[in-house]
Amino acid sequence: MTQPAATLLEVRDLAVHYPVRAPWFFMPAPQPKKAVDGVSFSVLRGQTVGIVGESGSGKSTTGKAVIRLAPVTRGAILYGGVDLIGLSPADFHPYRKRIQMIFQDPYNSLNPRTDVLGIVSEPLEIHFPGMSSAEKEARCEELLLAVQLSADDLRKHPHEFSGGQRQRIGIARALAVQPELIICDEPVSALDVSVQAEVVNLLQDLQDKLGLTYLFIGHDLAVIEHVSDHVLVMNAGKIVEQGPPDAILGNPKEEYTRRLLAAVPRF
Amino acid sequence: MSSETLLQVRDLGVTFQSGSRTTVAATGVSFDLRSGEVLAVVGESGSGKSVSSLALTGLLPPPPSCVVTGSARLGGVELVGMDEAGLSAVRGRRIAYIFQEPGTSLNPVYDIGFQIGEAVRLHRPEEADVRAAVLRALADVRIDDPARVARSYPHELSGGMQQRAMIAMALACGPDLLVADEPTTALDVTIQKEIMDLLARLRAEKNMAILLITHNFGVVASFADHVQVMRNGRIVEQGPTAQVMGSPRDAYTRGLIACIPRLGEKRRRLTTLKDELRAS
Repeated sequence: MTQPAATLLEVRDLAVHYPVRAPWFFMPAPQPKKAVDGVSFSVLRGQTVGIVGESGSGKSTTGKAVIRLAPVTRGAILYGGVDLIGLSPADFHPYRKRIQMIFQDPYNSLNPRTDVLGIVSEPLEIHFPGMSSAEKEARCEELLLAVQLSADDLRKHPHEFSGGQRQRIGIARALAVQPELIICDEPVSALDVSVQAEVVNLLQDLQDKLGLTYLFIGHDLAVIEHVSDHVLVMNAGKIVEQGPPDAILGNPKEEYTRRLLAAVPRF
Repeated sequence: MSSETLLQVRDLGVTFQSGSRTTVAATGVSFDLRSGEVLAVVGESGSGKSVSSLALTGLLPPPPSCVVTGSARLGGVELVGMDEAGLSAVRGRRIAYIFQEPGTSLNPVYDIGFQIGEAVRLHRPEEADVRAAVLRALADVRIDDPARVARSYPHELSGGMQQRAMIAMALACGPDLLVADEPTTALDVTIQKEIMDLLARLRAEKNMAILLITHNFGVVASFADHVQVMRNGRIVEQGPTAQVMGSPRDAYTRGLIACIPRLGEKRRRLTTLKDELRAS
């Protein structure tokens, strides 16, 4: 790269605590569940930050907090210098267009009763209300081609596709509003290894072509190492260590990271 | 290791009939499995890897919607075409199953102890002390506090503990063959390692055969004696694990191995199955 990349997202001391109700009214309320507790990191424009950890480590909650799908207890989320935490819903609205998300389970994240055109054009209806139906359809066709599906697929329903194809539809939906940052929440964990490789390559091609920035959440260390420019290892709501992938996964300093690495099957 | 053949499968085929449409899910499946041996069946979704193991104990829809052909002999007794009473004596008692999503295989309204006990009461009516058998089964899968887990409901346990409970239930009746259908796909790598280590120990302790069904060659290497690669309902390659993984003959096998990203390997792009099939 010719010039140093600018910071797109900066997360400072982020905490997401869920209150736990007392079993009986006269008992004192237990300690809140600290899903995320004091997490700080930055994401440079055009790069991929990978978050890796076990179930319950807070990696998905961290991603969700960035687009207000999780309640933030404390901290700052600076997006292009603006703190998203204090914004009113109306002021936050434009950021929903700039930040999109793709989900783990391609079977549950697409509406089964809507055809692909309806699924992919829904974000267009919200963020580009002036667009005509013909324009929307043309845009959806273009998006399907970008994710290597065909224009004929527009009228089909989710059940007619395989898991990998459904994940491509989810990616097309995220791309519809031309976002800058995509939060990828375990996008390949539910897929066969053969399909996983295709979807990972597709995400990287799209990044090169469109200059996208990814926050890539996963539990497979080899996938995270492959896609990331910067890796965070999370455990129990905190960042255990962070840095470039070859330093963190090639030569980990923390015992926890070593334990994760030891569990990966080698062959 | 005993060299006696436990399961002999010859030319097994499964065909689904839906209206006028016929789908061949598996055809020409043949293999031998000895006691204490692990056979891995590897393939993508839809390759027919699960369906042939379900056919063994009649866990598929009845004819005419599903037709099973060929032969599968367990200890010399033919399973294909066996009546329901015969099959239900084999199912659970001699061939037990564990599946991918432990959370959906367990009944949410009964505690773990009751569900394991149900298997014992059904398959081993001679067992006088069901509760002791349940606690023994839970201790067998290295659960530290069997009494507490027996009282727990599925939602109170983590994914790894649920899968242990499923394994305890499968092993409570001392089966000769355990079919493990993607047992770790839904679990974290650390839990995956614990479960695979546990299965390896149990297989040695109980001289039990395991049919491991998976799409990931990563878990096969350290665990299976033999590998069978399936594609579109057919076996494309089979043999000892070291041979199949070390020098795969079939381009499809090579593709399945090559597409797994490995740690410490710097590649710009991941190899896909298509790349490998095109190259050959």
